[in-house]
Amino acid sequence: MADKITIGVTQENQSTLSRLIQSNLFQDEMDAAKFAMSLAINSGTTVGNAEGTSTKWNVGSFDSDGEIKAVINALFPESTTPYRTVEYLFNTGLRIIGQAYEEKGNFSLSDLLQLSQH
Amino acid sequence: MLRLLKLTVYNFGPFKEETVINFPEDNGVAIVYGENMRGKTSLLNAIRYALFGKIIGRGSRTIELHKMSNRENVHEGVYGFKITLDFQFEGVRYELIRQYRVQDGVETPNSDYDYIEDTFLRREGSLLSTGERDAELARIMPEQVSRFFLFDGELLQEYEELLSNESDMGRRIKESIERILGVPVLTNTRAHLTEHFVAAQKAESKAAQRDQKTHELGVLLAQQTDIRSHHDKEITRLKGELDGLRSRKSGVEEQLRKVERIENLLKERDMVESNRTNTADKINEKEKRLKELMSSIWRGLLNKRISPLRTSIQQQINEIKDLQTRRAVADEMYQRTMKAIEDRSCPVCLRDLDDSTIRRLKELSDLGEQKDIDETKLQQLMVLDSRLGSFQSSVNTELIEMLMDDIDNLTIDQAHYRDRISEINQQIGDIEEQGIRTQRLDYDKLIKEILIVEEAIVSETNALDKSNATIKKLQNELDKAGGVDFVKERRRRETYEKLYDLISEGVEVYRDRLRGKVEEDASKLFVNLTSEPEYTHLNINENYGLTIVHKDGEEVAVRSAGAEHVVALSLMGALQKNAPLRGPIIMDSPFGRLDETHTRNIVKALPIMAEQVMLLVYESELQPNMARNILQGRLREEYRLERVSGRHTRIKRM
Repeated sequence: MADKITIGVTQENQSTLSRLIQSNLFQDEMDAAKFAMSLAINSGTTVGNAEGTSTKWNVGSFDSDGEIKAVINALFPESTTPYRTVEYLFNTGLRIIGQAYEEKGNFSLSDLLQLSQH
Repeated sequence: MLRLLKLTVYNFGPFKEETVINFPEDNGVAIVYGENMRGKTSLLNAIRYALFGKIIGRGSRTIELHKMSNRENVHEGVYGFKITLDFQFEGVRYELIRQYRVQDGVETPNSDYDYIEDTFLRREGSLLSTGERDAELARIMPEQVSRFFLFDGELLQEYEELLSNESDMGRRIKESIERILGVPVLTNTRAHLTEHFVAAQKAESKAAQRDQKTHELGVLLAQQTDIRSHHDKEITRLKGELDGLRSRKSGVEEQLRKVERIENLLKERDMVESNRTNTADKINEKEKRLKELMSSIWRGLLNKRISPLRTSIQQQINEIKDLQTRRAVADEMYQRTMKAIEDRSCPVCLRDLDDSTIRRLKELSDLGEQKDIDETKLQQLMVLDSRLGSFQSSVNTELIEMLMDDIDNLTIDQAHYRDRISEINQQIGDIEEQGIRTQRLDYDKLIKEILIVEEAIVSETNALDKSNATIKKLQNELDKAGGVDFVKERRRRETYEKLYDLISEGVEVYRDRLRGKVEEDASKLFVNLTSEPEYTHLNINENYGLTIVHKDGEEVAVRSAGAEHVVALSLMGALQKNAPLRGPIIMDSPFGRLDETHTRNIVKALPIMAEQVMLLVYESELQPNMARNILQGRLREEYRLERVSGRHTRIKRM
């Protein structure tokens, strides 16, 4: 399978992403997605493939200096498609956050940080 | 004396249908009981409207008349109202009708402009003309004295104004009091005498001119009389102007009193707005910093995963570098060995080497296959290591949480500021800020104008005095030189002058005596009304302001609203007793601020305060049983205002 050139979120995850932006913690959706990606990695998520995603970002703009690709390659050497993995990871992270919103109703920053450092 | 006979109200306030109150024929007290918002004040206003065409709301502000139509009827399309007041004055019966109706052609009235007012006054059944009507009403009950007959417990501050000599309202109330006491009769007489005196002076100067001996003096006297007359007229004109300016000043002062509070509110609002803006800036700054930190937090979050990875990479790098070092050393050794074999001598000690040594060296120099050092891998590992190094910074969650707390606290502060601004805006209402500034400028301008006019009056008065002095001198000259005709006119002038002086002195004596009588009667009444035995009497000032005097002779400087009530009622009772102008006393909620003892005392004194008294009270203010016990035979009628709906009241005889 070839690696992805454009990446995005599922419809469900888009509402979680919007909610994160409304919380006024992130400058933009890209920052929020990167946060979700780290959250997913810390929660033990490995490689996978996200289905039903929209086209949101070009990988060149998401990872302008190749830093993310390098770290994914280092953490997941079994993956031959790092950006596909990135997409899967941040969608997984958004799903975890979305579930937490459903359970708790509202999130403080502390809750979010706790979740992300699990 | 004015005596009310019947009040009929239609579609006025809560009185939807035609409502009639018959005043008792005999002297005594009538009481109308009604809870709050049932229509007590509306009844007082109905009488006020009938007599003066005005309705007063809280704080003495005039209410737009179109708002007085009964609201239920208005919703049914019935607009306007009618008040009929039957009364007797000096034995003559009157019927006063004041009707407020919608103008022809207006279907749905929205303001006073859509209405027209008709006023009719019948005297013994005969309709009076407009001029006769106005003159008669002004004679029977001038509006300026209404506050001494229609008593509203909310307007007590007006009586306090009497205590200040500087107050314009105090001055107006004083004029009203003197009006009731009949002082204008004397001052008007004095004014008429002045006219006769001036006419006599002119006749005197004409007589002097006819005689040759005194002709020149006569001419000078005539000229000087004209000059004096001019100054007199000018002083009268200026005093009228001064009255007008003072009246406007009172109005502006009233506005400024509200404005002062609003100005303070505006200042506070500016300050709160500034704080709000600063807080907003701080919030923005902190939010920006927070977002900057959150933008890179994803790196720090991977610290734990990356650390061991990086350790492994660094280990690999070290292994390769070790290998590189060992290879370099081995290469150096090989080169030296090959040289020794070639030179057949030891490069260190320079001794020749034998064949067996050379053979041995050849065996040792066979390194076998060398493992290649992967330079590319080393480079990659070093680049990766460097990249991963940026992930090793710690996640500064403490700083992030601190920023969030600051933002939350600042947001709460901002909400407080917003609420306060909203409260202030509500209090300010629709008042235009520019209008406030204009009012202040108007006020300053009015003060200057008043000062100019006062100075002009002083100047004219000085000129008048000078003119009078010159006239006196000329008259003295004429006395020495005058003929028969002149003597006759001089005697006429002197008679008027003496009459004028006598009346002037009489006015002052009458005023002082009246004031003394009012003080005496008000004191007697006050001592009966008050429950404080250490208050012995009242002192009256020039403006008829009354102060309470303690038994030790000291005046009570500060008094409560309750005390103000009692003093005001004492003044009203005293005026009724001393005034040629008498009438009923109608009181709306007079006991609201008074305790039971004071209430009892006042109820007991009512029949002596006026011949006809009507109380508009609520039951917890004055219990019906208490009123009956105290007044007994002097309680002539009792009514109750009964609720039909929130906007509809009926009156019922008890």
